[in-house]
Amino acid sequence: MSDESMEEAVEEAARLLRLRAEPNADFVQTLEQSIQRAAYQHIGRPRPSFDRMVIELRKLVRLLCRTLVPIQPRSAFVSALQRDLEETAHELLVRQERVWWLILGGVLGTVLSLLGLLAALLLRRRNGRMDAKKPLLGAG
Amino acid sequence: MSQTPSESDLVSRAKEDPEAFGQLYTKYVEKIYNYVYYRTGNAQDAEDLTAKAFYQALRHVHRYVDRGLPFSAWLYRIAHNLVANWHRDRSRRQVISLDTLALISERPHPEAKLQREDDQQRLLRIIRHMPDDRQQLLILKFVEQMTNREIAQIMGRTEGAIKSLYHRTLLSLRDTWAGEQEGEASEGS
Repeated sequence: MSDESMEEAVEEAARLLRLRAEPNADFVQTLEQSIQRAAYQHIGRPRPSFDRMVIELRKLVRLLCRTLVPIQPRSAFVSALQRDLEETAHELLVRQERVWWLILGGVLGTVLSLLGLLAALLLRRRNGRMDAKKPLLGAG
Repeated sequence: MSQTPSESDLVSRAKEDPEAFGQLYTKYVEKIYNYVYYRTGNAQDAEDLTAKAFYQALRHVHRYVDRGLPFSAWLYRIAHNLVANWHRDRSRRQVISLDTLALISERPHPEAKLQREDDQQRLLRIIRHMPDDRQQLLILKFVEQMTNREIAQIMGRTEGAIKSLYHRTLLSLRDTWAGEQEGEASEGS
């Protein structure tokens, strides 16, 4: 097996592991009911009848509706947090802009240094060539 | 609750525009606050964690990838993780919520009202002892009045799984409630 195909196989296995296995809803419900039956038998209490269960659940839902009601956060808190978030957002933008300028400056500096180095090298080579062409004094 | 084009635009603008983020904040602050409030049980922690959730969202919004889910799903996920950390980090000392204190100090109430408030406090206490996913489901269903489909999107599950979880949550809640009442009755007799 090549490295590439092995990597693919490992990646596929990881992907399958990441998938969340979800049991079938009907299966869960049936299992739940049989566990409940067993639990009631275990504690020796009769399982409530279907009608009683429905009545109890209705009562419970009514109580849930009365209890879990939307709460208004303090308006002072909401507006103070909004102000702080806006300030932070502006600071983050300014900081990000500064980082961009730093990166740009760094890149520009590097390019200029390289160009300078190249120019110096070329100049040196040209001077070397000219020195070689220059006739030696007193020769001939 | 699919993400409308305007919200999608708003989210992409929020990556560079503080004003757009402000609009998202205004739209979701109450929802996140409510979620955190019912998970922590007191207003002070709810404010702290709501603020933390929005600061985190602000710092990471540039990394947000639109996968067709509502933006609120991402915010709820942040809030959910913060609440989980809060529960983990909280010391063992008993915390009495300001709201409970206010409730106690406001007494005496007419008896029926008092009984109702006791029932509500007891129900909240039972809910807070339930597993995370069941608490989240109840809050999204009753406080935010979301449909099973919307809840499924936020919780990253299928609609069928949410229906089944809701059914199991109600039965478990009913059993705990009945068990507590029986316990009280036997103590009283």
